[in-house]
Amino acid sequence: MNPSPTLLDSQRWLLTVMTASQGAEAGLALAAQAQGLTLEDMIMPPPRGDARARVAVYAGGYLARLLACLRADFPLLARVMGDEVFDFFARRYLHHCPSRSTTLYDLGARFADFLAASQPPSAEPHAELALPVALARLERAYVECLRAPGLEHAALDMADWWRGLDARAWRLAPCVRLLALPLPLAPYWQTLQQQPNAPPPPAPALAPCWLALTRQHWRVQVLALQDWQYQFLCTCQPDHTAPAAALSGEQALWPHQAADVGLLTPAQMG
Amino acid sequence: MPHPRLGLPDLGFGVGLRNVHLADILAHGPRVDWFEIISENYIDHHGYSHDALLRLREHTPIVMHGVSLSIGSSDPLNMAYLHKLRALADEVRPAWVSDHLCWTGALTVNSHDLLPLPLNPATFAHVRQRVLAVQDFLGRPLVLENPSSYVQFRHSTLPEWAFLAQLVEETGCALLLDVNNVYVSAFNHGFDAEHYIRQLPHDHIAQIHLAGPTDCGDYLLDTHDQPVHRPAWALYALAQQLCGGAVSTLLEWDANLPDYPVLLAELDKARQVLRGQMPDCPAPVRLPAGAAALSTPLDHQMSRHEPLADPA
Repeated sequence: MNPSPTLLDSQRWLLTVMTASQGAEAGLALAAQAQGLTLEDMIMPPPRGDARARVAVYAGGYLARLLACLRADFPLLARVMGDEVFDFFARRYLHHCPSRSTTLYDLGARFADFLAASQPPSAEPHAELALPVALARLERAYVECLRAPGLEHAALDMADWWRGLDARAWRLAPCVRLLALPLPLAPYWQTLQQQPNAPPPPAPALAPCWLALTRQHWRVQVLALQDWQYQFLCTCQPDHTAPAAALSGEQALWPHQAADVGLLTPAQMG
Repeated sequence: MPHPRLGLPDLGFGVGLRNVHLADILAHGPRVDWFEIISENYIDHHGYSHDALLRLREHTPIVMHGVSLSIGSSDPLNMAYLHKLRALADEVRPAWVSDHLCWTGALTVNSHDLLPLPLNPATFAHVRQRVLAVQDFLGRPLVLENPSSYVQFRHSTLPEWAFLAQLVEETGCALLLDVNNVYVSAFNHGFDAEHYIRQLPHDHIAQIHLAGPTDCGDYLLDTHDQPVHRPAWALYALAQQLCGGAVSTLLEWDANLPDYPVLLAELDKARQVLRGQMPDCPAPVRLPAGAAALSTPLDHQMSRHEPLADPA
């Protein structure tokens, strides 16, 4: 008879069983092979049914719970990919990138990168391949923008609004997320939002696209930017070290318009 | 003579605060005595629901209920999480902070489920020292909830009630008695639910949870998605009687969330039970063959997609 398993043994065993990508049966075989511990060694027979069905409650719940979380984080991506394809990639993502965080909020943080890495590196740029990755980045940025510190309670001194025309006078609002994407996603995103029951439109043609997500009065907006606006906003990020962008002519007034829509806030000078 | 429930107050009757109900609550008032929040929903959250929480807490007591402490994990205590939990408690000023007698992950992987422990002296020693460490760090007693479970480890040697009673005695923690979880686990493992409740240290029960499970035939699943079952109401009446009828009561409803007035009506049944009347209970929902249900529902952890109440 095996000596009594330690707490770590027990936890390793149940995690192996419940997180196996091929299901609880495969997990039981894996745990028996890795630890020499069988279902009968570990689990008491229940008064009704069998222990196999009971560990399957945990295995089924693990996958269903985390898949539901990813579907909730990426609802438009799931619509565009279709449930079957989305779940295929989500399952593989959960297997390769299991949660190591105390919050489900972090679960989808690497999903866009995972999707990008799943594509052949030498493939020709293609809108149909670029769309899921870009949409995943946009939906992740949306969730981050919802939760990040915003300007809702910021007491802005109006005198601060005319500090100057260079980027050092401004800071990106902490809730803003900037995206440089290979296809124009803002109108596509709006169409998906406005027509929740319609089939998703075809992927837009490849073309560089710059977006900012910002939050005002607790509501997130997706704003299309021009290249120079995106570059300027990048230089306003707190950790940006390169020389500040210089704006001239009509562009010099744009930071104030950007502040009006919650993208920028006056930097704390001096 | 120590205070009953460690001096923690009887907050009355409350519900879990869920974003889907915020518009109703902010428009018409809480209509409950207190709210319980899921701590993880508000850690690192600076959006609308966090702002609404801080407004609500000005007039309504809040309790913080966690799902990620993983007090029974073989991994080291997650100090980064504990720092954030303590910072949230400093901000929210809850009546108390609770979590579960369980583990949620090990070997650095988080399952986001409330998993059962082998209940034996070795596990007890491990959990005991971690409860003491957490209480020292938070500067307050920890309130621990009995979980629902679907398996029992063969090398468990202690009944759950004995494990909890000894933990209370040796750490000074308090208990969150989930009578639905007792009902679910008693059905699943074939023990006597009344006996379990009678054996607990009643003067350390700070809070009672109520919820409705799903009947899966051979077992009950803790789904929090329907009205409380009649046997759980009977256990609730027994628990309140044993505790002197003054323990804070909280209704959990986390999947298939009804409108707020329906939730309030279900909570009102708890008041009815305390008046000595058994409420009308709909027949328990039996899971159809081939259908799937989810234990430890996570709607309450994914509330970020709920529509915003009009902040104007």
